[in-house]
Amino acid sequence: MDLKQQIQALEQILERERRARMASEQLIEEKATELYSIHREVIKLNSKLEQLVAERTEDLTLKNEGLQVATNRLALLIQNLQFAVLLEDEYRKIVMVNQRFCDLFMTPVAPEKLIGADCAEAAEETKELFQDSETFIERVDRLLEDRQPFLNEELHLKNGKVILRDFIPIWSQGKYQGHLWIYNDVTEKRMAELKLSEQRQFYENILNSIPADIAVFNNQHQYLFVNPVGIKDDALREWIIGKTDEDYCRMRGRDLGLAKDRSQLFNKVMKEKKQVEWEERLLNKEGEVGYFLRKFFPVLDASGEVELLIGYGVNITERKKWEQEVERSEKRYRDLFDYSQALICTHDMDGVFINVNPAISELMGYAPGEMIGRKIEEFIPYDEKGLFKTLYLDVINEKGKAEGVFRVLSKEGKKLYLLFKNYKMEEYGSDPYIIGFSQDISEMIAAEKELRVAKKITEESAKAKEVFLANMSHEIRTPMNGVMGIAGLLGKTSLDEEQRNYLRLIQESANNLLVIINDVLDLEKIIMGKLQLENLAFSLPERIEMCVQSFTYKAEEKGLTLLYKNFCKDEFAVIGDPYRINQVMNNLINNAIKFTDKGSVLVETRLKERHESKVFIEFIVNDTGVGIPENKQKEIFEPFVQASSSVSRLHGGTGLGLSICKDLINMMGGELMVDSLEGKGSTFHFVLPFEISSMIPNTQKIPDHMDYKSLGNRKILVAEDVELNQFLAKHILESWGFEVVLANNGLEAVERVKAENFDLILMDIQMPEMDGIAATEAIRKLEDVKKASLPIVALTANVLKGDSDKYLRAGMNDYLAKPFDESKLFVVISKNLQEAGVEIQSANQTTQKISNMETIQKLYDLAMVETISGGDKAFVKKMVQLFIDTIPQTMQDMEKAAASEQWEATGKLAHKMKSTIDSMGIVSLKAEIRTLEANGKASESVDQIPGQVQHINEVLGKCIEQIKKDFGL
Amino acid sequence: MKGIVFTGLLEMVEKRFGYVVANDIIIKSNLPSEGVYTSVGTYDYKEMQSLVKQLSVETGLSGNELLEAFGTYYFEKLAAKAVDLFSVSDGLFVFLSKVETYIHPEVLKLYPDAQLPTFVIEEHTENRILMLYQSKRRMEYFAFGLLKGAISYFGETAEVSMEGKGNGDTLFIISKK
Repeated sequence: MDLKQQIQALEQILERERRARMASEQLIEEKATELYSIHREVIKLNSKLEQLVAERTEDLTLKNEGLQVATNRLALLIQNLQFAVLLEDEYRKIVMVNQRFCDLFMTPVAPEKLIGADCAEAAEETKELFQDSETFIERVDRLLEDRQPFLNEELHLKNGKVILRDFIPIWSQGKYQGHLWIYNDVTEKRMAELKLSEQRQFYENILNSIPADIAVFNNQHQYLFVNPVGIKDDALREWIIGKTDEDYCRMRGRDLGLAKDRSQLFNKVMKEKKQVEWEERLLNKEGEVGYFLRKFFPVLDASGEVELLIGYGVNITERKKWEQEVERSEKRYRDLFDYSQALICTHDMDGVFINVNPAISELMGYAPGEMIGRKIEEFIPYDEKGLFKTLYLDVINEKGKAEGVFRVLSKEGKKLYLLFKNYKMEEYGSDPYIIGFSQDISEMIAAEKELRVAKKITEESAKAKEVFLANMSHEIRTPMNGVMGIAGLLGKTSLDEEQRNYLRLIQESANNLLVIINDVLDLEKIIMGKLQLENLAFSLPERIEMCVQSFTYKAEEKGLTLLYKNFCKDEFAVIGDPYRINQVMNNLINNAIKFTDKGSVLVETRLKERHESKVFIEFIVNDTGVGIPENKQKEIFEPFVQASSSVSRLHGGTGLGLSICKDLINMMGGELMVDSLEGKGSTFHFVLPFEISSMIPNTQKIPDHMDYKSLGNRKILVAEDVELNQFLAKHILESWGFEVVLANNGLEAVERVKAENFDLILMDIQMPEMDGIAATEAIRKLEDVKKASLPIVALTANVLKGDSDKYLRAGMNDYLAKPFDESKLFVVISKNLQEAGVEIQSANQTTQKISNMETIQKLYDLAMVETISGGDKAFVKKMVQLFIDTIPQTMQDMEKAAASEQWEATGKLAHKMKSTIDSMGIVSLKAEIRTLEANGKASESVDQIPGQVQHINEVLGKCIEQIKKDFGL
Repeated sequence: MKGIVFTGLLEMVEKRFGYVVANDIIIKSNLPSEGVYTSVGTYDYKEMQSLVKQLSVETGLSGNELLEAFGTYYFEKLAAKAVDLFSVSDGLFVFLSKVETYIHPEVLKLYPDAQLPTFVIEEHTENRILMLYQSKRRMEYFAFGLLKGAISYFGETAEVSMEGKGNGDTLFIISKK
């Protein structure tokens, strides 16, 4: 290192030192200024302090003056003592007393005023404040005499206060100077102690009444406390304090193992400072096993060391027993689950199996447990998986249960049917799940399938039978129609006696054959449950009367008396099936005549019960015939059974009649009974319930004598393929003065209708080329409204149930079953002509006798209005007047609406008119007004509407004319 | 950091390695204060780190060795200055137990801006003291040297050892023989 460098370093150091000195000087200057100002501040503070010291000194000097100061201090001290103090001199004069004393003894004077007072006198007054006031003075005298200090003497004031009293004699240089009384009010302290002890008792009571062993140990495992549950015996409980479990076991001669076990646990708690819990198995004196759940809790002191240890024990013997019981029970259920042949499973709300019993696994071909945890959907055929949630999971989740049939696939892919009934189980604190029970019904399903096939075969054969019956009925009726019709015509020719007799035999045979066919059909209907009863209002006595009358000739022939007695005095109409009642009564009367050779047949109807809207009528048919042996009385109601085989030989018949009667009566709500004495006669009787009709029945009885000319000259189209029937119909109708046009099939019939004008069509159903139904439909579609609405009456040998509906639906107005007789044909034709608005000339000789012929000939029927009027003729007249006054306006409106193609308005007017037409009994418009209403409302078949309106108005116009004439308006 | 520490360091450097070395490390350290230190001033402690680092380069001794040596050297100086705060008669352990509770508070009265480490007594038995040193400035080797200086100052036969506790926290174990 050269000198120059050294010099340079030194120069640099020097420069730094110079600068450091300057910096220091600056700092010193700053500090000096700071110091100066601090110095000034200190001087200021100092002088202030000196002043304060001077003031204080002066104060103290003043206070220190004189002996008084000490006395004052003492007095002050005593005044401020927490005790009541009373200082007396040897003469018991008060030297000093404090305020607290005055307060305690409720002296109304200030303490300084008491100085010099005589305590001996005061004591006499004060004693009353004490509970043991009598001994108070004695006690005080005794203390004064003894002149010995006596401390903490407990006194009780009457106001409840507790005071500790000190008596302190004062001696000075061997001379008695007086004595000091100090009273300490310990009431609050006592109260607090009492409260503390109560509280302690309270907690001890709690500890004692807890149904658990509780013990407290020190850290040496010595008992500090045991509650009575732990040790019942009081003496033992006291004894054990300070002892250990080992001492206890020794004393009781118990096994020390228990104490050692507990000791180990105790040490564990001491070491780990954490509670332990264990179960102890103990044998009691009787040698029974008991279980205890025990715990040791450490109680730590402030430094974290174990100060105390609490032992806690509960007898869990019962619980243990329960647990064991539950375990056993669980095992039983587990066994049931495992060994049951029933299919049992549980699954969660997503359809995942929780458990599956071996019966299911086995059935499905899986190993035990293989299905658990898998979704049920996996086992369902592919195309039904989608339904699983909606049809099953959602249902069971919402309703809590579900039942039905699962289709599942076994491991081998075999389709199985399981009938299941599953329930949702919801238990508090755990997720809901489903328990499922099912049954393998795969075999049943297979059997059911077979059954279904068998049923189908049966049904088909039943259907075939029905069709056969229908055909048979048709095939027999058609020629029968010819036979009976021709026989009727033959009867109109001149015959000798023998010929007439033959004819009668032909007719009788034909009738019998018809009865047999009808019986077979009826029985079939009853068996098939296809027989339906009508609900019509009718007059019961009239119906029975007619029925009885029809047997008059037969009875006369056998020389029997036939009588009908009606014992129902009340006038009422009933609702029921008059045809079936007729059938039953015919059968019974026919039998009665058949089995009676002499005597009488008596028919009776009796009113059994009458209710507000219901009556019970008894029907009786009594004869004096052969009677029925008692042992056959039940059998005669069985089908194909007669009282004796000789009966069929003697009397004929199928043996179905009574069976059918019995069934029909049953259907109508009654029971056919028989009372009979062999050789004396039989009585058949039954009771039927009927609703009472509020309407007067519109009886449709066939008059005895009809005026076949009353319908005038009508043109009738007869569509019929059988020549015999063509001939019969033509002959009958022409004999009434009608013009008859024949058509051989439906096609011809439609052509004829188009070409000519007819009043009515008689239409056979089964015809070649085009049947009657198709022909009717074709006619109804014709453009000419008048032709399209021609009355069409079906003539048919098909009389099975449902057929008639079919005809009416096709647009036919009525139907007549073949074979028909002249009178029935006349009634149907006249009724339909009249409904179509064809005027019918009244025949004088019939109107008087047959009320219903009046209806046929009249355009209107006021029966309903008359019913409503209750016999008030003025009311009827008023109604009629109203009709005449109002209806022309409606007619006019309707015509206008139809003309301006306001179809809906037309429909509404039709609706308005409908009830008037009904109540005025204008039967011929009843159907048409409804069709018009419907067409108008729906704006359908509108091309027909103007024609309909015109026709309705024409008929109504005629009605008004007629009413005016009838009522002379 | 108080200027006295810097002047102390430079004094030691001058004495041990000559004023040229002292001058060199100042210049080479390129200090914001330019090495102009007065004992009562306050300077960035990073300058101390720079100086020690430079000295280490110059001397070939490690920074920690240098700091330790400086601590031992510096204690004598502190003791001479702090006659009002402690004396040899106190004895080593009394002194050590006073550092955090008495000496440092007093120093702060004098130098309110002084940045002092903490010396928490972790254990104090008859023969052993454990002190936990904590400082943002990480001068544990300086402290180590100071403690050695203290032992020799009080003339006691004791040993000091150090244990790093992470984050610059250091536990000093001072045991009497």
